[in-house]
Amino acid sequence: MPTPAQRSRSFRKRRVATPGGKINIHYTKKKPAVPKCGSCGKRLHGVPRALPSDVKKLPKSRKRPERPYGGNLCPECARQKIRIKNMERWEND
Amino acid sequence: MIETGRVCVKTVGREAGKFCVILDVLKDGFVLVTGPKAATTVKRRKCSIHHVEPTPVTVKIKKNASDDDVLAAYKQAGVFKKLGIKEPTAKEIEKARDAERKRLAKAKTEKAKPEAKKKEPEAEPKKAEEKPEAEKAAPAKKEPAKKKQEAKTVKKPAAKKAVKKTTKKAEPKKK
Ligand SMILES: [Zn+2]
Repeated sequence: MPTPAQRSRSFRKRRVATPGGKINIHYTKKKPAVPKCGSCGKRLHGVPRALPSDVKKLPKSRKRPERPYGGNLCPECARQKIRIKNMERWEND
Repeated sequence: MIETGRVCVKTVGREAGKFCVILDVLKDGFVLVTGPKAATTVKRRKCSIHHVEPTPVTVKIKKNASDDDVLAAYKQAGVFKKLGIKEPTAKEIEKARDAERKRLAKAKTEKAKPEAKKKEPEAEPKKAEEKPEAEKAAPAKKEPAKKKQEAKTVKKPAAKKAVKKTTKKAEPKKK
């Protein structure tokens, strides 16, 4: 039997065949959801899909792309947003 | 809209959202661009037209103007205020110059290196082929035999020691 803490649904069950012919169950924490673009929902590259505790150990440059809106918007949406902001800025002049 | 002296916003890459000036319009939809780096962190570099968004601000500069000239032109036209950028201090300008100098020096050495690398491998194999023909027959057989003997002598005492240790440790536990 697993420990009571492992009986939660937040654990993934992995079946592992042992050399004795048994099948043991290993309990591992589930991965968080895939990071997606905030405006179009596209999958984001360059953002690690790992537990927050593991992500914390990474350097800042490996947590998200080094561009404005990096890790929140996909590059296409970010480009659009920067363009619109630029146009709005000079409207009154 | 895209001509020398036009101030633009970069929309792609790590410099996205930062201002730059067009220095020259190149072939195939490319432009030469600079921040300058001391002012906006945009390097002096070639860049696609599609990665640049023009603004109504313009500066009077010559084609392929140097970064110092661009900074002077910014000051004259009051571009720092228009764009809402801090005017770079003398220290920052000097830092950017130093980095540029280092980059150029590095590029020079890297260009010189590959030629040297190509020459070396051509020379080495010839020497290797010439030498061993006479020596190959004799020493090649002797060396491995010696090594095997050494290995045997080394391995045995180590194994005995390990056995002794384990037996010594194991005995008291049993008692
Ligand atoms: Zn998107």
